[in-house]
Amino acid sequence: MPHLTPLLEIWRMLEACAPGHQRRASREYWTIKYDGKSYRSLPMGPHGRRVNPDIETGHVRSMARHLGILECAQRTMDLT
Amino acid sequence: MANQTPARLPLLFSYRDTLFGNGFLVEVQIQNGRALGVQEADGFWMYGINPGGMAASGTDLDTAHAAFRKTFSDMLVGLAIECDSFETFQAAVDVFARETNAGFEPDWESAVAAVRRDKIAVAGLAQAPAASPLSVTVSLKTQPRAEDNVPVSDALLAA
Repeated sequence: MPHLTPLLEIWRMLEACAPGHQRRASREYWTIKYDGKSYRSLPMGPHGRRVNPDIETGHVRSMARHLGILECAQRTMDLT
Repeated sequence: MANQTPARLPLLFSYRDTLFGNGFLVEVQIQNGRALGVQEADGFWMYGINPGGMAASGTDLDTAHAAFRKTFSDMLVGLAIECDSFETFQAAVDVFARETNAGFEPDWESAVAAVRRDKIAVAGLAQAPAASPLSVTVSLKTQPRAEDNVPVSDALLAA
């Protein structure tokens, strides 16, 4: 059973843990850039761009580790 | 030799894609990309180490790898759309593929150590040296062949 996180919760986490990060939408994914790193496979959700789709939490686990913000992210949301 | 899927698998992968960019046809080959396969509570995840900026999931290793493979191709298409020349695409792919997920890299290394220590084997997954060097080749395709329509995909257990 996939563990899902609302996209708006991910944005709130990034604003707290990755201040100044950049996000850009492409066809099916968000690219998040922070501190010289890019996470490119954050999905837009099952039906393309929507306001607050549920996103598989595994992407947040991967992104938080890649961007070097894991500890902060874990304080902000449940990543298990 | 243990022959069961452990909770963490250090993986090497080699892919080849042929795709269109803005004004060019290009072949991308990555050899010995690295990913960490993890059985999580919410499915089997493949976290990219190189490239570090991507991940995908499935119900098991096979479906997670299929999703990871598709996501990799999607990332290349995204880069092709962003780049206005072969040279910028070539550079962007190189940066993308070599960017390391430093947060997961220690887990990948410890998973390699576990494979060696416990002599872990996974059915259908051949082994390769964990130190196999990453190679990224982006080249203009001047003589496309019908076989280029079929992406090349291979995964190995790092040991």
